Amino acid sequence: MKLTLDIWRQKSANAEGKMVSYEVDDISPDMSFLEMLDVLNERLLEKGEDSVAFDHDCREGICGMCSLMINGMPHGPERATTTCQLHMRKFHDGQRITIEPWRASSFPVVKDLAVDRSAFDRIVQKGGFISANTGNAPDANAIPIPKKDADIAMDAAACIGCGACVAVCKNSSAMLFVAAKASHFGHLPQGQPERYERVIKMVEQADAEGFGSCSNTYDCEAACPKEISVRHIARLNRDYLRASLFGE
Amino acid sequence: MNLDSKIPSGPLAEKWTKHKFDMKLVNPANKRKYTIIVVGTGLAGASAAATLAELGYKVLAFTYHDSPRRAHSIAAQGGINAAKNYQNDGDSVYRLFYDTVKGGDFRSREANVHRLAEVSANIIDQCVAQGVPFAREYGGYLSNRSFGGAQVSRTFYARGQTGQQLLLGTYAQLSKMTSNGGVTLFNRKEMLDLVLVNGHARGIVTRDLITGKVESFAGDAVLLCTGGYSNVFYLSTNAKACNVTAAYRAYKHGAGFANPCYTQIHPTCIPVSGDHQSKLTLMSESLRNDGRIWAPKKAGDQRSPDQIPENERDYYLERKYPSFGNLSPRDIASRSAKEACDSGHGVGPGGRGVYLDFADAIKRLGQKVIEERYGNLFEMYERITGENPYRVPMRIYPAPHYTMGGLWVDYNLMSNVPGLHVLGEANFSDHGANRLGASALMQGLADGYFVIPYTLGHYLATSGQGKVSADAPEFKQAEQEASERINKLMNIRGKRTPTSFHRELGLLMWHKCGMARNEKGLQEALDKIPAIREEFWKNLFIPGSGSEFNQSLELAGRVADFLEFAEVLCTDALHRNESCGGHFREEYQTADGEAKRNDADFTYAAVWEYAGEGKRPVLNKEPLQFDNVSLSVRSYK
Amino acid sequence: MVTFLARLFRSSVMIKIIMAVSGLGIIGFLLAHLTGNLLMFGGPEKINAYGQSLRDLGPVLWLLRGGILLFFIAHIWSAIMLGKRNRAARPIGYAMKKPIKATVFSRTMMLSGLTVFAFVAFHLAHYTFGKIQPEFFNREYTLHDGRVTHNVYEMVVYGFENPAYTLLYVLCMTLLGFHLSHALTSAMQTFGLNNPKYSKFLRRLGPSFAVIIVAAYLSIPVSVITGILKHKADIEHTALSNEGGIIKEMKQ
Repeated sequence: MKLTLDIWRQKSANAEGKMVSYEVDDISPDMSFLEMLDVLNERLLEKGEDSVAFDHDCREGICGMCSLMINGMPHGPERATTTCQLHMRKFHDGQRITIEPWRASSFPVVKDLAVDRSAFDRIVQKGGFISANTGNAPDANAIPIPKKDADIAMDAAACIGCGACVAVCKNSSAMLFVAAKASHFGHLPQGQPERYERVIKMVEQADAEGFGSCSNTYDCEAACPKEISVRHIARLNRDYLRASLFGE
Repeated sequence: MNLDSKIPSGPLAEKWTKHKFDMKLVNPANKRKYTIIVVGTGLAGASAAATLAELGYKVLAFTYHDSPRRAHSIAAQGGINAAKNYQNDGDSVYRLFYDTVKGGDFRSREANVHRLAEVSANIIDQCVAQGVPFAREYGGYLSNRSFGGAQVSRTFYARGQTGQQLLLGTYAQLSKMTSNGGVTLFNRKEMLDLVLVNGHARGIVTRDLITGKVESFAGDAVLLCTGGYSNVFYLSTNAKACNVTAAYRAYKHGAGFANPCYTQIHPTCIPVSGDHQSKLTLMSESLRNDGRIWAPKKAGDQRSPDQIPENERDYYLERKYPSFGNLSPRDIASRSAKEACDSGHGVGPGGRGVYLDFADAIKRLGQKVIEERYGNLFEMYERITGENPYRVPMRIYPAPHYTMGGLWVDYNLMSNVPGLHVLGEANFSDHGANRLGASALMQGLADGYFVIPYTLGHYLATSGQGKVSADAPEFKQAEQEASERINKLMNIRGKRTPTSFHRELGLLMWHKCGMARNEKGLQEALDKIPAIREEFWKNLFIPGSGSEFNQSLELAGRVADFLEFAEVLCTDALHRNESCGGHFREEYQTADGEAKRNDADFTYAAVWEYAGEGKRPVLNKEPLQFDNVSLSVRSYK
Repeated sequence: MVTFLARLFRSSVMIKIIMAVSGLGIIGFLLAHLTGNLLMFGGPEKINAYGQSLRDLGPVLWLLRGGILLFFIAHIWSAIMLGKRNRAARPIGYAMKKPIKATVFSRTMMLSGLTVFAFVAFHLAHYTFGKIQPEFFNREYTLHDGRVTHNVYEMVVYGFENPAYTLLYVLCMTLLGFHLSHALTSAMQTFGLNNPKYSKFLRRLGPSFAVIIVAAYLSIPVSVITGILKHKADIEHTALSNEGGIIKEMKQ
C-alpha cells in the first residue's frame, strides 16, 4: 500500500506546530497503524530526520498509552479499537490519512503527537480510590456482591485512561473518564463510604484541570475503545446532585 | 559475593511467621524520617510504594510512563492464583507451594515460595477491599477457574483483564497516598543509574524524558520494581518500553544477576505476520481450557484447516501428555509447538504456527458460551489477523513472555547490595526455572503488599547508615557519568537506528538462545553480540538532542544495556548444562524429547557478578535445598 | 450553605443541572403557550377569551412572566458559563474532525438556542408589545360576555398571511425542534436518568417530543395558509371597517 500522511509536527510544548505531509509506500495490510508509523520513523531516521513522536507501549490495547486522532476520529475509524490494534487492512491503497494529537487544553502537546495526560492522574488522586490500607481487609468472600453489580463495576473499570473521550468531545469534557471511575467504585459495597465525596472531589478536579462540561452528545461512548456506557455519566450526575443537596 | 539467603530456621510453614517476629521494627514516629525510592510503578512497585507510605515512610515513586497506570502488569489477562480453597477442591497453601516449586522445575527457593503461597490469600482479600471487580457467581461469591496446568480452581479473574484491574487497584492506592503526601510521584522519569554510598544503595540518577534533565534522588533504600527483560528478544509480548536498564545498572554496581537464562516462552501468542512486526500479542492461555491444539499430520500440508480431515490432524499435546493434554505447562506446550513447526508441520506464514481449534467446544457448548468466555480474545484475534476464529481455527505460536531470572535477592528481597531491594518480575526469587500461569500477579503483589513492608523496616532499623543528600559527591559523579553516556550516544551520529540494532540482537537471541538452546548456538551468539555492540557504538544515529523529548535516545539507552546483558544471558544458558523449565538445552533431553534436569550438578541458583568492562561475568552459586519436597521428574504425561 | 452555593455556580455538573431545570421550565412554558395557540382552532371567541383570562390574572400573570424570564435567564446564563469553559477547553481545534454518534442537533445547541431566543424576542415584540405589525395589534374583539379585548385571532391570521414572517416562523420552530430533540433526552441524562431498562425510551423521548411540539406549533401557519383558519372579519370587525384598505392590501 502507498499512503499519504498529514501529520502534526510540533517540536516541544511551547513550539509552534504545523501539519506536514509524508508519503509512505510498501505498507503491508497486516501492519498495525503504529507499525506503519514505525516504518515511517525508521525511514525518517535513515534520512537523518527527526522521527515522529507518539505515545505507545503495550500495543495490545490495554495500557491506554496510544492515542492519535486518525482522519478526525480518536483511535481511527474502527469501533472499540485502540490505535495499536487498528490494522492497515482497514485503509485502502492511496488513501490520505490525517494524524493529529488529542486536542485539549488539559492535554498539552509534549511533542508531535504525544500529549501529557497527567490531568487524569490528578483527578484520580482526588478520589478515584477506596481508602483501604494494606492489612485492613476482611475475607474476600465476607461481602457477597451481586453478580450484576460486579459486572457493571467491571464494565466501568475497563477504562484504560487513554483520553479518547476527551479528544472526541466537542467540549473536551472528561466526564466519561470521571464517571467510569466513580461508577466502578460506586457499584461496589466497598466503595459506598466514600461514594459521594469521591464524586464531588473528582468533578471538582476535572473542572480545575480545565476540561469542558458534558453536552450529552454521547460521542465519547462511541469513541471509547472499551465502549464504556454514558449511563455511568447519568449515575455520576445523580450522585453529584444527591451529594450536593443532601451531603454534608 | 555474599549470597546469604537469610532463610529463617524452623519448619517451612512457620518460617515467615517466626521471621516477622524476629525482624526489627522501625518506631512509627521514625518512619517518616526515612525516604524510600521506588523505581517502577507496576504491581510490585505501586503496591510497595502505597503500603510503605501508609506505614508512614516518605516514598519517592518513579515511572517512565506518563502515568503509573500504564505499567505492563496491566496486560496480564488470565488471573491471579490464591490458596483460598473457596471451591472446596482440595487446595491449600501447601498445594500451591508444591505446585509452584514443581512448576518451577525445582529451581526455586522453598522458603520464598511457601511464603508466597501463604500471603496469596491476603492478596485477594486486599484487592477485593480496594474494589477490584473480580468475577463473581450469581450468589455474589467470588468465581474461580483452573488455569495453566493447575488441577484445582484457584485462579481469581476479572474477565480477561485481571492484570489491568489489579494494577488499577494498586494505582488507586498509590494515587490515594500521592494525594495525602505520603508518596511523591515522578512520571516520565527514567532511572539511568543506581547510586551507592558506603556500599549501600542510597539513590538513583534519572533522566526527565520531557526536558532531558539528568538529576539524582537520595534516600535510605532503593526498591527496584522494574519488571523483566523479555525484550532482549526484541519480539516479545512485553510492552515496547520494557527494558533491563535498571536491573542491569544495579548489576554493574555489584548486584548479582541470578538465572538470566530462565526465560518463559508463552505458548498462545499470535504468530508473526511479517518483518514489520513490532511486538507479539499474547492471548490468555485460558483459551487452552476449551481450545484444542493441533497441526497437520503431513509435513508441509498446505490445505486450509477445514479441508484437513480429523484423522489427518495431530492433536499432539493430547497425544503426548494424555493426562494434562492441552493444559500442559507453558514450557512444554511451547516446545511442542516449536517441534511441530521445526519438523515442517507448522501452518500460516513461514510455517511458524499451529492451530488452536474451538470447533469442538463450539459444537459442545454452543457459540454463545464460547463468546461469553473468550469473546474479547476472539475479537482481539480477529482485529489483528483479520480472521474469524469462530469459523477458522486460530493460529498460535510461542513468544517470549516472562523472565524468571532477575536480580538475586535474599529472603528479605534485598540484593547482595545492602539497601537495594528488588521486587516482582525484576527479582529471581519465586518461580525457579518456569512460572505457572496466574502466578506473576500473585508474586508482584505479595512482594509489594505483604513482604517488603516488613523486611524493609528490618533493614532500615539495622543498617546503621546516616543521612545522605543528592548533593553528595557520589551522586554528582553518577549524574555526570549518566550525562556523559547520553552525550556519547548522541555524538555517534552514524547511520543506523536504535530499532535496527534491537531487531538484530533480538533475532540472534531468539534463534540462538530462545525456546531451545545448544552449545554451538550459544557460542555463536556470544561471538556475535560484541560485534553488534561494537557496530552500535560506531554507527548509531539519534536525531535531535539529549535535552528534549527524544524517543530514539530513550530506546538507544535501553538497547545499549540489552547489548551487554544479552551476553550475561547467553553465558548463563551456556553454563547450565541441563534442561529445566524455560531453559531447554537440546543436548540434555530424554529419548522422547523431554527436558532432562541434572540435579546432581545444577541444583543451585547461578548468580552472575559483573567483573568489569569486556570481562566475562563471574559465576557464584547459591545452593538450593529441598527439605520438604523431593526432586522428581516433572511429568505431565 | 456558602460552599453549596459556590459549588452550584462553579461546578460544571451543577451548571448543567441548572440548565436542565431551566430548560424543563421553558418546555413547560412552551406547552402552556401551545395549548393557548391551539385554541385558534376553536375560533376567535375561544382564543380571545383565553387571552383576556390571562390578562385578568393581573399580578399573577406578572409572576408567571417573571418565572419564565428567570428560566430564560438561567438557561442562557448556564449556556454562557459552559460555553466559555468549553471553548477554553480546546484552544487549538482539529484539522479534521468527524462526529461519530453525536447528532447534528446535539452539536448545534448553541446555534439553535440562540436563534430560538432571538425569535422569542421578536415574537414578544410582535405579539406582546405590538412593535412589528402595529397595524394589527390594536384590533378589538367583543367577547360573548360583552367585554372588549384584543383580537388575537385576527392578529395571528394576519401574521401568517405574510409569507416572510411565516417562513421565519417555520424556520425558527424547526430550529426549536432541533433544540428540543436533544434537550429533553439530555436533561434526563443530566438528572441521572439513564438505565438500560428505559434508556431506549429516553433516547426517543426528545426527538418524538420535538416532532410533536413542532408539528403542533406549525399546524397554525399551515392552517392559515391552507385556509382552514381564515378571517372572521365579516362578523367581528365592524369596529375596524375604516381599516379595510389595509386588510385588502395584506391579502394581495
